[in-house]
Amino acid sequence: MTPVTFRERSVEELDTQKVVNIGKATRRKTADRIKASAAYPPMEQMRDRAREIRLHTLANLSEYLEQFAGSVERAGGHVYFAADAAEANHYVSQLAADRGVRSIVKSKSMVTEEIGLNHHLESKGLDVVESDLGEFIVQISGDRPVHIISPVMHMDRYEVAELFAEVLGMEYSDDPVALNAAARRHLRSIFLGADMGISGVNFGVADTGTITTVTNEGNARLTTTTPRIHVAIMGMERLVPNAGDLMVMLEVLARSGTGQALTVYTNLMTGPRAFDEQDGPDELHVVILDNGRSKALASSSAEILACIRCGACLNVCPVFREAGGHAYGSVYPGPIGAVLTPALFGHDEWGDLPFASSLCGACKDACPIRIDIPSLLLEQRAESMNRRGGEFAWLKPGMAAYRRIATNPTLWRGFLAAGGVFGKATGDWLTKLPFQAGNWTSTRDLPAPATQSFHSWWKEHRG
Amino acid sequence: MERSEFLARVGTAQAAAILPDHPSEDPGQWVPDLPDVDLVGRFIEMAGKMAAEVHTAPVDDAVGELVERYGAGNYMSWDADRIDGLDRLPEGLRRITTETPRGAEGRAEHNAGYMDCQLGITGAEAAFAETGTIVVRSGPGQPRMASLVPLVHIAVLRKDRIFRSASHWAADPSARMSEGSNVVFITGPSKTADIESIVTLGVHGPKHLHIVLV
Repeated sequence: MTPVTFRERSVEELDTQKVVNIGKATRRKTADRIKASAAYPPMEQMRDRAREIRLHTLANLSEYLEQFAGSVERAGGHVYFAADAAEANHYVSQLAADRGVRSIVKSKSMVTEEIGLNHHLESKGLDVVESDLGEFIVQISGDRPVHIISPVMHMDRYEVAELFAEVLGMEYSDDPVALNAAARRHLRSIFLGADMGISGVNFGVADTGTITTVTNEGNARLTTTTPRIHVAIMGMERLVPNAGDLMVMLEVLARSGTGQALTVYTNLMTGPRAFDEQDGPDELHVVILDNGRSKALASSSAEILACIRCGACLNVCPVFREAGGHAYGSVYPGPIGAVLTPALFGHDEWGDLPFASSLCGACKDACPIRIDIPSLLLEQRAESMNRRGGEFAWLKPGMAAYRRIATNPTLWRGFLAAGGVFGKATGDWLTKLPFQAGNWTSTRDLPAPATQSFHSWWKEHRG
Repeated sequence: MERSEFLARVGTAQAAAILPDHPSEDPGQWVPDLPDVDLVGRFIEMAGKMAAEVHTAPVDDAVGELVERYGAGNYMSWDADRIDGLDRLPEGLRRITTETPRGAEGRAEHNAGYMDCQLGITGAEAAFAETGTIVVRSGPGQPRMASLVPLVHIAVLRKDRIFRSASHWAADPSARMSEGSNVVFITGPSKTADIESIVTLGVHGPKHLHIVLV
């Protein structure tokens, strides 16, 4: 049976080589981020600035969207507003049919994963090839991205070597240089022959209609230059007001995402190829996607839409490090995914994700926008409990009893004294608790309660 | 969905949104306060850290030396008059045409000519010292492809166009971010760390980046 909950999925991931690889890579990325941030003194000020820009934009989103769409059109691009995944997918496949498109090349984009665009286009008989090295490996292995920035963080080079030997017909080599060279050659001929290129959008600039992609490999530049049609899919929240704001976001994104001062190719595109230019796409289409975002915006978790998808919170999260990205079952894993997924796609299916957190707060600390992820996780938990109250009915009598004891000093002291007796009887660690409490001790031990409460100790010694 | 309907839905949502404190006006232009440095020195240092090689010899000499070093047989380039300080394009090499046909016909055949391009020569209209970045803009005689498909990219940069950071450049009236369909910030050669976080150069773009200062 296919696992349907975080708990079921995570059981399959724990202690595998996959999560060992993820653990290593996330620790390295975290160290790189901290180093890059410390190396640039204005970084903390830039984070404050970035937060202001993002929140201001969200609070005025409909005005900025209208301005952005007008700017894109003035620059010669087309704009389509898609209410949901189906509308966005239909627009792209219809455009491909109208223009006689046969082959499509894509650069890495989480929003296209979100709407299942590849699957949709393939069902219409179109060839779609992922061009980011990591996404290409995901595609040819039939896997799913495990991380929003590093899709094959869970694989080691030996797995990739076997895959390339089988799929690309190259001689077996586990040297990353040789693997890269084989992918470059294979993908280049696809780039040069593609009719349509599909990219995501890191940021859209409202006052100029500029869209940006950031990649280290250069695949987004090829995707948006060699084919005659460029389609950019953008989540509706990914705007900034102007060029000055964009610079702040770009520097903050690179340092937080990969620990780079700037990404190798920060690509700014305004409209299609101009009449006097030698290359670039003949047509530019920008698809602006809602798909649950207006619902999230109207909620108490609106702040989550300030996210710039750097992945820093995934890298520091103890749950992500141990369970990996696939345990979340969502395109968006980790702390951000545990808020975003139910906020966008509903609690009926995803209501357990906000519970996949120890609320340690490392995510809030790492977030370049200082999004209060722990508070948003609590908001989402409350929402889940409201909707799924029945399933957690067993908690209610226990919590009611606890409330009664904890709010009455006499009962509370008696409770503590009972704990002391219990502690005396069981030694330092409790390894097996009865009933629901056994959920805790089935995977870890619990320190036994002290034999004397602080309250009674204080009374004896200082009272 | 109709635009007006879409925007109305967003408008209703933002009115109901519970957001933390934020400014009601667009925060606007901002330039970080950084201590003074020698911009050229800082740029050379940071570009080097990003695995780019910086040259200070006269442009024609530097280009000639690189043609020889890589044994290049073909190249693509911006028009010579678009590159400051460049007197002549290299001789004895085949120049790959960059004028791409419009429409559905002939594009793939044209693009096929890029497959094994060895050298690309472009200008760079600005640079950021703090990150070792160059700014390359598309325009007439300035094809995007010349900085993207060759194995080796040579960019010629005027020293007086080095700014402290991306924000400093954006605040300058010369930045004109939306002029030309493409402005790209290039920081070192194409690279990936997708396989075991091991850095590998030359994924889809150039494997070698040379910046010639004039």
